[in-house]
Amino acid sequence: MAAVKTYYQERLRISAIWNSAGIYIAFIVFSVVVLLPIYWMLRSAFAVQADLTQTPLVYLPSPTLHNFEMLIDQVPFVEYTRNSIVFSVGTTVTTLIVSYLAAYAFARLRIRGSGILLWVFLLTMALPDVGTIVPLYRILSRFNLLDTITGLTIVLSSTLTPFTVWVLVAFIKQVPYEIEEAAIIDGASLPTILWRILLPLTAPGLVTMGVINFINAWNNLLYPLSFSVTPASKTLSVSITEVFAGFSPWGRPWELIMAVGVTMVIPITLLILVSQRAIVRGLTGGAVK
Amino acid sequence: MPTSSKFKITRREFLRRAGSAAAGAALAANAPGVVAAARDAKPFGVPHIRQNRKVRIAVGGWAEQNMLDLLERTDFSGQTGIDVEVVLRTDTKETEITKIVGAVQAGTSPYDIIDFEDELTTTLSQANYMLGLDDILPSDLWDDFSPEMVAYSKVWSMHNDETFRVIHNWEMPIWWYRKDWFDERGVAVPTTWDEVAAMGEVFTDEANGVWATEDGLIKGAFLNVYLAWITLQAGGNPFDVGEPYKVALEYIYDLMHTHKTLNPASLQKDYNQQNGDYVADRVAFMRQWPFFGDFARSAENEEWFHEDKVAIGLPPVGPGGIGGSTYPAAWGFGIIKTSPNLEEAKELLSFLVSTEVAVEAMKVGFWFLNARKSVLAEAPQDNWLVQQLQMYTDAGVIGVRPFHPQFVEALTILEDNASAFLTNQMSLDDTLNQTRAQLDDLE
Repeated sequence: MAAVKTYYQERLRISAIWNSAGIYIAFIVFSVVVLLPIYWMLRSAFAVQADLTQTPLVYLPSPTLHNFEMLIDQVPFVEYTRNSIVFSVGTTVTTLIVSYLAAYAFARLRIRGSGILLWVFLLTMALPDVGTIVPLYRILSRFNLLDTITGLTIVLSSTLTPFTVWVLVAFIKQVPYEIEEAAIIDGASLPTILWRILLPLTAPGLVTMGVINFINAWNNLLYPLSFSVTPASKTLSVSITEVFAGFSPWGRPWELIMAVGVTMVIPITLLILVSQRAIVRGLTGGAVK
Repeated sequence: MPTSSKFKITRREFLRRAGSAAAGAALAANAPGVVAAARDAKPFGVPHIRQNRKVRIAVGGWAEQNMLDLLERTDFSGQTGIDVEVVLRTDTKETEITKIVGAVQAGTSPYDIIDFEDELTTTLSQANYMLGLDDILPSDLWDDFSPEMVAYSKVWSMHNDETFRVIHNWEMPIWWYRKDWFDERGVAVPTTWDEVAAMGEVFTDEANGVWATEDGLIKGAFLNVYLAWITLQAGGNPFDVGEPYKVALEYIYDLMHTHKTLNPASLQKDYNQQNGDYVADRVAFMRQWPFFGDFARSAENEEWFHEDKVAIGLPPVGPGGIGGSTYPAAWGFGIIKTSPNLEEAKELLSFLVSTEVAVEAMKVGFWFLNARKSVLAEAPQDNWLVQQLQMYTDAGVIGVRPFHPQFVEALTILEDNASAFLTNQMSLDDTLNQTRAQLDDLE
């Protein structure tokens, strides 16, 4: 009996070791896949061009800030960064406000056809962004909003709103309506209910969508590329298409492109680190009832 | 439950008011635009009063300062009262098309004049996005162009006999070589295909990564440059997929695999890697655009640089004869048809392409160097780039860049098939047949 027990204990122990090993191997493979491009970007951004083309490869070149100096020299870096921040924050805030109100209406009001409308909202996401450029150009031109951050913000907010509404509807529906009824009995108005009751309960969802929308706006190239002409509204992402090697169009300045990449990744990384806990809660919160 | 509000509204009412507030906010955000639109609007019957005249020109970042300097030096604004705004265009044809197509389809344009390359000229002029320039060009313009520049312009700057671009930057692949190495080994610079092939035996040292020659042949327009260059030397156009193209492919294959002259790893390299290998003493001679001269002379390569390491020779002559030993590529000015400041754009373009201003432009920067008679006559003769341009022009080695009306699509077909052949994945006959069939499907 003891021998049988020992045998099964041994089997369990080996099985546990294999499971752990599998998890560790998967973790290592995943880490390499995720971290290798980041390592490559950092390596290229802080290296001189000669180090990038050398064979055998130089894995750890002597670090230099030369590329960042060049970047500041070649493009209006301060203006582009400022525009990126204003554009991303503006888009995030606008999208969240509009989506939150719309999501509340979809979640709480019984309007004939609201379910279909929600699906139609979602269908707009299937439209390729590039296919909307011409009509959007006409609209922005009509309202003198070309080459302005306001125009970019309105356009991208309209693109991000459907998905944000869709996600927030699930979050609001999760909050029992009885809580709102209790508040109404206590005399709370709708703005009070939204601000003091619903908002804290759906905060993880809002934070998650806020971060996702911020990243979308921060990395967006198509709209600033299409609708911006001067440094007044161009964003950092556009600078990837403007840096150059030497004083000619022939070479590809990979080291400068990577420097732009590093500059763009830093704020996103900080944002995710700060809001990590809320994002995890937000991503899992809407999934179960 | 504390109540913070004394008034009560229904949810429906709240949403209605919130909607109105959002609309109000949007209108407020648009206010400057609305005000500007109202200011610019013309009431019926009131004659249009000309406001400040302005024009916007887009150039690559590498040319921005040159353009600003030129405008200041020539005082265009002072002479005409037209304010010129210089803005940056993007660096590739694809991104620029994304930018321009939406605007033109919407009846406007992000800028009035654009400084643009061959491929973009073909696409935009065929799409009828560019303004025909023949009526506004100075009468003596074509007389000032070298015959090679005229021939080139007919192919790459015109469509249906109408001019859509006037070129100002005209440069061609140069034949760079290590004079110090050639002198050391007592051999002459190769001037024919056979001599080039024989250099493998002289210089290639595979074990130490040294090759007689190397190129940037990675797919994505790099390989196409070399295919076009060699096929032109063979006397044809690669897009015709005729006998010269067959001869060219066989020759490139032999350079790589039979004579060990051309590094086969070139197929995975771009121009940066090619330049890097040259300054790392791994290449004896190569075909490369003039920007290599700036790279070799940059502070980064100060210790390595010596004039004998970047000597310039005439490109080798192939079966097609000396006239097609190399070909140029160009950049030039054109006006977008839907430009909001069309008259001002015409004035600026005529000004920029005039003989006097073309000479001034070259003095401002070599981005404006070309083989116009007036420009070459005034160019500093002690400069390596001017010397090269003069040498190639005098020797008559400059042909016309091989053309295809759907250039970008066609070059992708050419590159895909050629690289399969050069890496032993496809036979020569299959390569040619497949290339021909795919190009036929394009039309």
